[in-house]
Order: sequence, then structure tokens, then C-alpha cells
Amino acid sequence: MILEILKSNNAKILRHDEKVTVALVPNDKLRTTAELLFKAGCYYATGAGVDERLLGVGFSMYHIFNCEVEGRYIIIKAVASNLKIPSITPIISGANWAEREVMDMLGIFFDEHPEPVRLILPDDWPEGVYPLRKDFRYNERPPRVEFEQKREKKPGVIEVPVGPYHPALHEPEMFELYVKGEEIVGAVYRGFHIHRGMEKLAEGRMTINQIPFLAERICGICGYTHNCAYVQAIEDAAKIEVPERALYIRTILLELERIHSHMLWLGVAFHLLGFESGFMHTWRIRETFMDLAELLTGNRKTYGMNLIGGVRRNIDENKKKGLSEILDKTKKEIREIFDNATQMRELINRMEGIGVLSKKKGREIGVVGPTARGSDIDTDVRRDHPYAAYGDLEFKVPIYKDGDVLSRFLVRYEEVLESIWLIEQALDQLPPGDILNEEYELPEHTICVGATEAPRGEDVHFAIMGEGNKVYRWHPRAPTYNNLPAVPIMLKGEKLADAPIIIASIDPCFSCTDHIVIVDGEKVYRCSLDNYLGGL
Amino acid sequence: MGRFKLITKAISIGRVTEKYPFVPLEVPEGFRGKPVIDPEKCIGCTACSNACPPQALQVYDDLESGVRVVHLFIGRCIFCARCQDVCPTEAIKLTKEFELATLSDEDLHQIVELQMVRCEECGKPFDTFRHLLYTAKELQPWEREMMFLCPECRAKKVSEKLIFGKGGGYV
Repeated sequence: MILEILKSNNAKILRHDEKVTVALVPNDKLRTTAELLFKAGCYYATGAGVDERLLGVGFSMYHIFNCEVEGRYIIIKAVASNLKIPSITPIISGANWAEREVMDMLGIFFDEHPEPVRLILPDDWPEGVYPLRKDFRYNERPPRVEFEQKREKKPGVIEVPVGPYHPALHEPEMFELYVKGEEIVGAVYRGFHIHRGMEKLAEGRMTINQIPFLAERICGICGYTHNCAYVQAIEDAAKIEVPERALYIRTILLELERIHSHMLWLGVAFHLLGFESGFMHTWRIRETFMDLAELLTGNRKTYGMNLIGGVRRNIDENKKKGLSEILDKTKKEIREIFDNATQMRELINRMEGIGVLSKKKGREIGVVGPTARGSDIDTDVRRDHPYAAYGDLEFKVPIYKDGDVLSRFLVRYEEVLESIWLIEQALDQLPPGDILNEEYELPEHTICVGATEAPRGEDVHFAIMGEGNKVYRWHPRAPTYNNLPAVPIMLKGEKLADAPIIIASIDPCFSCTDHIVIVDGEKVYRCSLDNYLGGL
Repeated sequence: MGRFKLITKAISIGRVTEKYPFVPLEVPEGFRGKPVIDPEKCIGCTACSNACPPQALQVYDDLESGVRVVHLFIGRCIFCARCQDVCPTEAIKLTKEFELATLSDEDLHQIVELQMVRCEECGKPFDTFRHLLYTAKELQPWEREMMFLCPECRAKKVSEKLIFGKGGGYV
């Protein structure tokens, strides 16, 4: 079906196999193709611009769609003519940020984009300097420019800044809430405060087996899943056969990471709702999972386990035994805490019916992970695009219909128990054999994509292979990137006191989202690039 | 009802906070802590500096004095243990030490200096003694006669032999 859509729009198929379809679509047909794909049930995952001048093409834009029905990723490529490409945002609002990001970073412009303003680059960044172009060196620092502050006041509306440090999550972000009395009438998100220039660094100086360690540092909580997504992308391009034991070990670690991430969030949610003893208990249990990770990988958080072609450390019988013992014990404890907590009316009342996101709106934005599953959107990369060992294992994808904070809370709670069940299965079925396959050849200029289900949702890594053990382009997209645009919708019409838990309910991870970003501060807070660089 | 059960739970568990730093903290076997180079074992092959993702390990040659410097700066280290994986002589190892805060910058550097061999022809230092000995084991007997030539001089010599015949072994 997907092929028919592409072919009827004069698309040139560049790659078509069981997981990925890549097609070059003529610019005049781009919008209709995107619309047809969206209507066929593919949702917008991400977009990446590429400076392909070194490959003799010019600038191009890749729109990546997740087609759950067929279990494949569809990448449609458009080549800019005169630095211009028609925008698909009027049809798919989820493409808004991706297109603006490309405008900022590569200087490709999108015709008829509804809000063609800066998203990522700070206001003191000079015009016409595009950091992701290949003629921009990775360690270059352009001079700062003066800019004018634009700020509008609305009568009768009070502006409440939440940020630039989130009160509970200890990460830089900025929500401007517009309130009338107690009620929130509008919300603006301005993030992208934490630029680390990772894409540029990876393309500029790192080799293919060094990037997994950089990818792991995109996020402080769900780093391993980024690492996996990147490694899978490269394995997909080079058609590397990963030993089965390695896939099972990856699965165990991915689930371990999901448990500790969800436990962290559940604890933070309790803390935000004023239930401190629940917070303490949750984090106490979480600590055993951190110790497990330390035992298996040598570190609590940055596991550093993946290389292209497998994993670096084995799980021996001793570790296996210790792991299953601890899982048995903690499973009981988790149930104990949460079954008690969900019986407390005052806790449930603060979450029920709060911060509702409808299924339709969620689909349009392209929300992922527990945020989507709490809004009756049945999506899970582990099931729809099986990777690692998930194809062999049995698990349930919890779905809740209400779309409120409580639904998202319960989705996460159930997922913790599912994850424990998954680890138990994987330990049980752990096949013998090698853990690392180092005999492979890397192709050149292959377009590839790797996806994992991070604790927060779908993680997509898009890559184009380069020459000589390097990547030509690497674009990771963290789940929060897709979930954040939903927050202003959830906030509208709610009480100010509920704002912290609503913002937290998508389990935002701002560092993940901002991996490509510099400093922003158009309105309330300003942090200049000079100050920022001076502090390094 | 729930909260009363949680109170009894809390009482039965007691205090879980560790006494650290007043008592030492045990880390498991295989913990990835501070990397340390064994200067006796290091051969200066540059495998670690090629693998190191954050460039915490750098290897550079001081051509004047004929010394190869293996420089480890822990301030950049991400404790990934790639150096330990790729080291052919197990000279670099990650220890269990994780308390790395210090008042002096020097504590974060480890420098290993290795004597280099000078080329018999041009006199330029081109490799460390240890690495040369290490690779000598792998060399074919007819390759050994050019062991002490730098890569450029060796290439020149080989082509001379190919052109002017008599050298034998290579043709």
C-alpha cells in the first residue's frame, strides 16, 4: 500500500526492504505524499536536514514516518531547489519543530510554514550562519550579535514563568503560563537551553564506534536506549548479524533502564503531589535497580555496553542468579507500595481528569510512549518494530483511554511490572554463544534508521553512512521532542497549582530534546552565548 | 487505609541511607573507575588514543628528544573502558577508584614517556623501542632487515630493490 502511494506520486524508490523504505519525492508532490501517508496511518516521527553538497546533491530534507501497520519506517526525501522546499506543517502539525530546526541549523527554508521563526538558535546568534552545514567547522565560535527584545503584554493576563529550571525535574526549560486568576489560559514553551552540539561533533571528529558513547550521553536517564538506537541504525545499514545472546543482553538492560526511569518518574510524581513518603519508598526500591545495573555493566547509569555488532560484557551464571533473586524481591515491594498508593483518594483526585490530551490531538502532534498510551493511542516500538529480542518475548502494552495524568501514571506503573516480566523471560531464555560480531564491512552513503522504545517513547536515530569509518549525518530524535508540543494543550484551562504535575506527566527530558540546541532566551531570561562559552 | 500500611513498612525497613563517606563504599567487581596506565607494560602503540571517544588519552611524539608521550587526562575521561578493551598488552586498566575530586590539576594527569627508535637512514624517530620489539615477533625473517627504517625510508628502499633487482626477498 505504501509503495503504491509513493509510486503514484512519481517517487523514486531508493531503498526498500523489510524495515525501511526510502523514496525521493519531487517537491510538487511532497505535500500530497505526506498527506496520503498520514491518512494511511503513518505518523510523523521526525525530520532531518542534510547538507549533501559533498555528495553532489545539494541540501535535502528527510521526513521520517513511522508506519506501525506495516512495521516499517518510511523516509521521504526532498531536495531543496534554491534552498526552498514546500512545508508539510500545514498538513501535519508534528512537522513544525523538525522543519524549524532545519531552518535554523541548515538554512533550508520551507514555503508556507505557519511560524517560520527561530526555534533552536539563540537570538544573539548571527544571521546566515548555519552550524550544521558541512563548511562550518565543529569547533567554530561565531561572534555574538545584538538583538532587540520583543515582548508583548496582554491586558488582564498575568504571566507566570515556570523555569528556566524546572521546579521538580532539575533541568533547564521554560514554560510561560498566562493566567487569569487561578486558571491557565495559555502556555508557551521555550526550551532548547542546553546545546551540546552532539550531531556536529559526531559528524566532525568521531568514528563510528565512538559515537555510541556520545549517544549514551544524550540523556542522563534513558541513555542506553539512545545508544541502542544508534547502534541499530548502523547495524541496519551494514546488515550486520548481531549474536542472539547480545540481543538478549540488550533487552535485559533496556528493560532495567525502563524500570529505573519509571520508578524515578513515579517518585517525582509523588513528590509533586505532596506524597513524600511514597517518593522515598519508590526511590529506595529504585536504588536496587541501580545497583543491578552497576553489577551487570560496571556503572550505575552510563552502561557503555554496546558496540556495533553486539555488547561488550557477558552475563554469567552468578550475575544471572543474583538478578533473578533481586527481581523476585522487588516485584513484591513495588506492588505493595503502589497498590497502597492507588487506594489513597487524595492522591488519585489530584490526577484524575487533569491535563487531558485527546486521542485525535495526540495523533496530530505525534505523541509517543506512555503519553500516547495514556490517550488511547496503541503504539509501542517494541511490538510494532521488533528489535533486540522483543520479537521472541511476550508482553502486554498497557493502554488507558482517559488521556489524563492518572492514565499516564497507571501506564507507567503497569509497564514497570511488564518490564520485570520481560527481564525474567529474557534471563530464562538467554541463549549461549558469542556476544560480539566484529567482522563486518561498512557501506558508504547508506541511509538508515534505528528506533527503540525509550521509557518516554519512541527514540529515532537517523543516519547516513560516510566514508572511512565515519557517519556523514546523524540525527537523533528523543521522545520528548514529540511530546512537548502537547503540554501547552494539556495546560489550557487547568488550575495553576496543577501545572507542575501536568508538565511532569509527559516525563519530559529536556536534555534529550535539546541535544542539538544552543541557548534561547527571547523574553524573560537571557543567557548569551558568550557567557555560556566563557563558562566552559 | 493505604498510608498506615506505608508507615509500618517504613518502620520495618528502618534507615537505608549509607554511612558513606564515613565508611568506605564497596563497589562490585568490574566497576569502571579511574583508569591507570602501567608504564612498564605500555608499548606506545596508540590503540587506546584511537579508540578513546572523548580524547582523554592522547599520544604525541616529541621528535626533538625522541620520546613518545602517552598522556591520560582524567578530566575528560568518561570511564567507558574502551582503552582497556583495545590495549594489546593490558597496560591500561580501570580501577575501582571513584573518588577523584582533587585540589590540584596535576592529580588528574598521567604521563608515560617512551623512548623512540631513530631511523637508520634519515635519523627521524619513528616508533617506540617496545612497540618495535612487540611487532618484531610477527615479522617475517626477510622483513627484519628493514626493521630500523622509518616507513618512508622503508618504502623507498623497497622500491629501489624492486627496480634494481638483486635485493631478492621482496620480488
